[in-house]
Amino acid sequence: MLKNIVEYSAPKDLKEAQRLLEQLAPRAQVVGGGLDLTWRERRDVKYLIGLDNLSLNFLELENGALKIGAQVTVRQLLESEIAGNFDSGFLRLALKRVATPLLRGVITVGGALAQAYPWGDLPALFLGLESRIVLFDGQERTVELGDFYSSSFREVLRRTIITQVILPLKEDRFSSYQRFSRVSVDIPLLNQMVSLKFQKRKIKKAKVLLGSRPGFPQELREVQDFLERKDLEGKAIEEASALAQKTASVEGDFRLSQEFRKHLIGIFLERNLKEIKRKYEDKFQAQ
Amino acid sequence: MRINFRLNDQEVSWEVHPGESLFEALRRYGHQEVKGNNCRDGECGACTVLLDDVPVPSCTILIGKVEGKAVQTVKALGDAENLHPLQKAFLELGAVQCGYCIPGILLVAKALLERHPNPTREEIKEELSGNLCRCTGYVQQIEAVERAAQLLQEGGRDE
Repeated sequence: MLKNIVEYSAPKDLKEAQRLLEQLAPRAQVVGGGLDLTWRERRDVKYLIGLDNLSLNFLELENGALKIGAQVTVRQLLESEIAGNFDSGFLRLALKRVATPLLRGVITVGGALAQAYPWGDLPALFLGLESRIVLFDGQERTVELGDFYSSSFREVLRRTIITQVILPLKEDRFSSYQRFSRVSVDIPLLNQMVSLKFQKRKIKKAKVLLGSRPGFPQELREVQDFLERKDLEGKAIEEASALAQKTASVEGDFRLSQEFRKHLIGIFLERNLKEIKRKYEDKFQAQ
Repeated sequence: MRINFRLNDQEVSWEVHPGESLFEALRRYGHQEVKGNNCRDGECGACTVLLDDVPVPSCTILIGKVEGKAVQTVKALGDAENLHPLQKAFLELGAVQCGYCIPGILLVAKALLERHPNPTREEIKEELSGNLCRCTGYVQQIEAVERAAQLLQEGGRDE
């Protein structure tokens, strides 16, 4: 039991929820799935603000983007037909590797991106998919997820509520995701998200995110620059993998050594690039 | 604070602590059929209940989230006089040893069969992967879910 909690509010509109959050900061927290509160037994929080009455549980395709309400769970996203077709089925494949089926019914997309645990799957995934998030702090604004994470976002979230996540649909984007964990349902001890866009059969733009390092996801910019204007073939894959291993910044912890994380980086990139080639070559050759 | 919800098809109104989990509240109100207090972070699945027909680890659900919703424990399946096809199948196939994980597994299986009346073995394995069993090795449990699907299709019991 979270004995420190003195009040659980269930506001019926967003303005009221944000007003409560701001009024009761820094001892208040919104409740998405609630997992962050229950497993960590947070002692710094006294007031809980439920989001279940705010109609943030929606999934819509609109204007070339998938709009995901902040309260949508990973399970709902995984089981939806809309998400199943997203990026040629990539999103579904990646989400099936997140946590267990039970926990996927609790983890909300908004909550996972707000907590942004260094070992999380979703931050790296959604960064790689060029997500934007919609925030409400009395007024609504939309920001690139990457820019949000570059700011003091944890401080911002003391008074701001994530209401939705927007994934732009890009027909020219092909993605792959690798993760390493002790057992398949455990947290990742290293993960890597690769998204490539092609033009005239060459890589036009690359996004390579390395997460669970054990720190926050890192964009491997040198690898991204290297891959641009290259053909996705053996030599480029080999050199990109070596470059990733050389330039990525990882640490060791009690779960996994730095040396083994370093070792995995190049293997992951090779697998990701080969996977994109294997699955989507027909499609990107037509770009 | 007071919380109002449906529990096993009955309206209930409970006085709860705002920091309480659904698991803690259920146990405090005498629902010992909900096993748990093991991992306390949703990884073992022993405390699984259905929340609006979705299987969730009740130890991770803050009680405030339950307001106005429907919760089912394993008692919603059936009793000794009137077993659910899942319970029949688990008994028939020897899928129960100590029994501690079984309420959670039964509820996950119930939710699965309601969504996919004829799941493949891979789908069953995937869906049960969040429920740990230290006794059986899982084979009989998977087979029991297959058998229950068959019984339900033969008209074993309406869902």
